[in-house]
Amino acid sequence: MGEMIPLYGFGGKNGAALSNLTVTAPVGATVTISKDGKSKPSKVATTGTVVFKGLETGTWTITISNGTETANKTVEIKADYNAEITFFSATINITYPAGLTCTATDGVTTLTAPDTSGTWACVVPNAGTWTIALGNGLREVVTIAATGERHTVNKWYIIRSGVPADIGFSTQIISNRTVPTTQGDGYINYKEANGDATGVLTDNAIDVTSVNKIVADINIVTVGTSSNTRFNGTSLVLTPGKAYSSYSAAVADITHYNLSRTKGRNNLSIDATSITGNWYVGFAIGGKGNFNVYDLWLEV
Amino acid sequence: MTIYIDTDYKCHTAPGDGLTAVETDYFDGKCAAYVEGYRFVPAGEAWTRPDGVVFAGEMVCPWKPWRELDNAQRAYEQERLEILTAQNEEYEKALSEIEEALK
Repeated sequence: MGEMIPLYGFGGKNGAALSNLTVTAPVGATVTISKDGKSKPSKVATTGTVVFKGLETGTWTITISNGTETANKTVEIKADYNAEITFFSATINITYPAGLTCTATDGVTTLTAPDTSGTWACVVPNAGTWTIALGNGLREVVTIAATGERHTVNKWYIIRSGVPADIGFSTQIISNRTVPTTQGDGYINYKEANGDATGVLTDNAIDVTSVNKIVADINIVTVGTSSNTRFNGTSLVLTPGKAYSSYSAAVADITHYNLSRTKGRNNLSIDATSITGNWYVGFAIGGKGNFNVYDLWLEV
Repeated sequence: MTIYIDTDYKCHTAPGDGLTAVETDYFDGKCAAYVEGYRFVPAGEAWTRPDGVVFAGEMVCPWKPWRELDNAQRAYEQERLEILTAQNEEYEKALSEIEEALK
C-alpha cells in the first residue's frame, strides 16, 4: 500500500489556507471566537494576548467578557490577523423633565431609562450616533466616537438653528392670524405684515415640570406694536391653549412671558422653576413685527 | 394696574418701604394672592436667580408654585361669580316686584 498524500495540502476545507488570529484584549478577559454559529474553545487573556490557530478564512466574531461587561468585534480573516478589542463604555448623562419616558437608540440597539425620575446615566455599548428621545416628542442627538467618552444632555431644543423639532412649531396663537415664515440660513423668520398682533406656538403642549428655564435666541428685525403689553414687542410666551378665537382670549391666556422691544440679537428667557404642567411654548408679536428665531430650548 | 415690586422683583399689591411702583396691564383682573405669587422684572433690569442664572426684563413668571396661584385665582373668580349671580337675582327680584306694583 502506498504512502498517503494529503489531497488538498495543509489547508482547510477545499484546500483553503488556514490562518492565525492574535487577539489583544483586556488582561483577565475571556476571549471567544465564533464563525457561522460555531465557537472555538474560549481562552483567558492572562497576559493580554491570546492566539487562535488554524482558522478558516471568513468572518469571525470575537467576544470578550469579564462577568459584568461584554464586547464584540467582527473581523474578516483572509490571512494571519491581529485584532484588538476592549470593553466599550461611554456615558450620556441625561437630564429630562421628570415623568417622561426616555430612550436612547443608535438604530440597532435601543436602551430605555429604568424610570421616569428625570435623570439617567445612559451607558451605551458602542460608538455611533445616538438619538435620545423623550415621551413628549423632543429628541437630541449625541455622537459617540470612543470608549470612555462622557456627554451631557440637559437642553431640549424645540427649534435648533431655525429647524423645528418633531413636536412641531406652526400653530397660530390666534386662529385667524397667520404669521408668514421664511426659512433662513440657521434661523426661521416670522414677519407680520397686516398690522395685527399675532404669534406662533408649538403644535403640542409640553410638560415643563422640572424644567429649569426656557430660552430663545432671536433677532428682532422690526419691533411690532400692540395695545397690550404681552404683544407689544416680541415675547417668549407660555399659554395653556392654542389657536385662540380672538386677540383678547390670547391676551388673557398668556400666563408667563419675557418681552423685548429692543432690535437686534436678544436672549429671551423665563424662569420655569415654579411652573408645572403642560404648556404651549412660542412667541407673541405686535403688528408689523419681524424677527428671526435661531434656537428655542428647554433647559432642565 | 399698579403693582409694587421689591428688590427681588416679587410683586406686592400695596405700597411699602423699599417697594417700587410699576404700571402693568398683566395683572388686570387678578386677585391679590395671584399677584403676590409672581415676579415682575421690568424692561431694562435683570434678576439673578440664586444659582446665578440671569433673567433680563421684561419677564413675568411665578415664584410660588403656579398651580397654587391658579387655584387661588379660580377660587377668587368663583367667588366673584357667586356675588354677581346673587346681585343679579336681587335685581331681578326687585324688577319683578316693580313690575307687579305697576300692574
